[in-house]
Formats: sequence, structure tokens, C-alpha cells
Amino acid sequence: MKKGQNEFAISSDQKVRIKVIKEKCISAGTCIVYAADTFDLDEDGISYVKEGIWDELEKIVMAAKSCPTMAIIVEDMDGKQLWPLE
Amino acid sequence: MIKYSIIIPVRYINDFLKRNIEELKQLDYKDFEVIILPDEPEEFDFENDPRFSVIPTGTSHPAGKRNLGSLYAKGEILAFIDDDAYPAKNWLSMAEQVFEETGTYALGGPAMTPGDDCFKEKMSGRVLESYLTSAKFVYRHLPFPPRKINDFPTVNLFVKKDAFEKVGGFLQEFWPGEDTKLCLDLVKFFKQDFVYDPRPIVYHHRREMFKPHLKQISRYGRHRGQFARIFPETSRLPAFFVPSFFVLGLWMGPLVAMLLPVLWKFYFGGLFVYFTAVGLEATRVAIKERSIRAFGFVYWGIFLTHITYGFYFMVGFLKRPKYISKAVDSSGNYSEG
Repeated sequence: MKKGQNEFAISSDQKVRIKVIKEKCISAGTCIVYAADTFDLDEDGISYVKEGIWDELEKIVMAAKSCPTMAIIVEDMDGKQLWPLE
Repeated sequence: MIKYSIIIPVRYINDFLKRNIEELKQLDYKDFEVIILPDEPEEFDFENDPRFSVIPTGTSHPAGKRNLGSLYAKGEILAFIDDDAYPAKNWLSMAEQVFEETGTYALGGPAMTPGDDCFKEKMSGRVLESYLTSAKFVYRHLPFPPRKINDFPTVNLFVKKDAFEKVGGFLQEFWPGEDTKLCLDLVKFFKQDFVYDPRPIVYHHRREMFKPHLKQISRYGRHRGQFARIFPETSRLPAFFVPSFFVLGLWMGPLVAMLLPVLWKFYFGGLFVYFTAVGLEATRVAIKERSIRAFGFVYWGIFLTHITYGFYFMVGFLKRPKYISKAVDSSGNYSEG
């Protein structure tokens, strides 16, 4: 399992955490269009969270919003869900 | 006022459309109506969902059906989708976001290959999704960054109703290709391009590789060739001519090289570069699909797509314009789309 798949990955600045629900991902790739420094596809075409410096929060949320199956969950470090809205 | 009127022309309510209807019911954005336009009156159980209506049109081309649908539409924005496509759950909410962000009069989104298409249909999708086949228009089949566009197919096209009415809707003499003409009219009227955004996604069932796929490609080629002749503004682009030059070069190259033998090395050199590029692309897909079969399908699929498109583009370009072509294929569905 790659980073962020079915478990939260935390940004290097400890401000946000992201989880990709592997079973929901259909390889649409819109997350990469909006946040290429945060997301990539593994060898099965499933989205995962990259190592290193991520995109700005706005881009990450946009990437999560663009996912057609809502497979990406974005939370702040207090556990408040930024997307999908609860 | 309803926000979106989703317009679906169809000959009869088929299995593809039933899937489309099911997915439309699942949309996370609720402010829409769906207008289905079959040839004959049809009973269909929408489970008392008042947002769906069926308006029989008699035998008519999709352009005419879409125009009729727009007359009944109560929505602020017309959303065109083909019967053999279906939307992602957030299709309309994403479109809404793009309209709010950009204020555009029209919007196109990608039409991707459905995950549950069969292997041969998926291979058709992989060929269409390749840069070697679709060149700069690959964003029509896969999500790519937002951009300005001046032509987009009706499989996933939104147009504000007032903009649609200002240009008089689709010109019914054109089919297939009525979408190209509509886009051209819109761009001319508003004096600016409209928006492509990867967020509003639909899934478009592909034709099986090889024969049905190539038949569809032949129609694309013929219609684009004809439009390159009569609408140079958006259709006389070098990229559309490349496959035809390839076909001409492939067949006429040896004749010319027989007269000028020095050209043989360029001919074979060109072929070597071409087939190496096709081979690399087929290898990439085969690795991604983890299927050796995929290599053969994509390799021959790309080559035959180039030949077919190139030949029929020339036919369309050279032939006297004849706007309405054969409407249905052997299955009884629209042959285009």
C-alpha cells in the first residue's frame, strides 16, 4: 500500500492530512491535474500521496473536490474534515 | 427556475440510456431536469421522479432533437450528454463550480472510458486517449488542466440557454458535426473562446476494437475533412491533416522513391521512427494494463486509426459537402457519438 492509501498521510509542515480511499479511486486523475506535487498514481492507477513538499491547501482541496468518486479525504490536524464537507 | 436541463437525444430507450438514467439519479446536485427525446412515445418507470420527462420527436437527427429539447428546457444551463455516456456523481456540482469561477457561456469536460467497458472497448479508449491519436485534443478523453477551447463534442457540453438561443441552436443540416458548427457560432457571437475544465466528468462507452472503432473513426475523419473545407476557422488545423499526409506518404513514398532512389532512406527512416513511437506507446499501455494482448490491440489500433482517419478525412475534404449522413448503425443506435 502506498502512502495515503486508506490511511492518513501528514504534510511535512504538520498542517493537513490526506487519505485516499483506495477502493473508491477509479484512476480519473483529476487530483493530479490540480495538485501534482501532492498526488500521483501507483502502478495500478490508484491515487496516492507523494513524499516531499505538497501543494498549497487550496489546491489540495480543489483536487479532492474534483475527484468524481469523492475518494479523497482532507482534514486539518484537529481532525476537522475540509473535504468532503460533513 | 431550474438550473440545469440535461438533454439526451436517442432513438429509443436502450440499455446504455437506462444506465445513464440511474447515474443521473445519483448526482449530488439536485437542481436539474432531464429531457429524453426518443423517436416514438415510450413508457419508462422513473420511479415517480418528476425531474425526468420523455418527449417523442418522430424520426429526427440528434441536432433537431436537441433543439426541440431546448425549447422545452426550463433550465438556465443546457447540459448535453449522449445516451451512451453517463455522468460522474459530482458532474453538475463541478460544472456549477466552473460556471461560478469563470462566468463562461459554455463548458466542455472530459468523456472518459468507463471502468466496466469490456477489453475491446477499453482498447478503443486507450487508442483515443493516446497523444499519437488525439494529439492536442487528448483532453477530450482524459482530465487535463483547464484551458480555452473553441470546439467540443456534445457528449459532455454545457451551454447557457440564452447563449444557445442567441445563435439559434444547432443547425440541423449538419449531422454529424453539428456540435462543431454550434461551437463555431458561439465563438463568433461572443468573440471569445469558452472553457474546458477537467472536473465535470462523464464516462463514454467506447466502440469495440477493431471494426466498430474504425467505423466510428471513419465518420470522425469524413466529418472533420468536410468541416476543414467549409469551416476553416476551427477545422482547418494542421493536426487534422497529419494522418492524411501520413497515408499519402505511405502509399506514394515508394513511387516517388523509385524515381529518386535517394529518398528510400527517408521513407524507411520515417517508417522506423513512426513504428517505434507506436510500439513504445503500445508497450506503455500493455504495462499499465498488465496485458500482452493490449500491446497488439493498441499497436494495430493506432496504426489503423491513422490510416482510416487519414483516408476518410481526404474523402470528406475533397467531396462536395453533403451535410446529413447515415443516421443509424446496424444496431439501430446513432452511428455517431
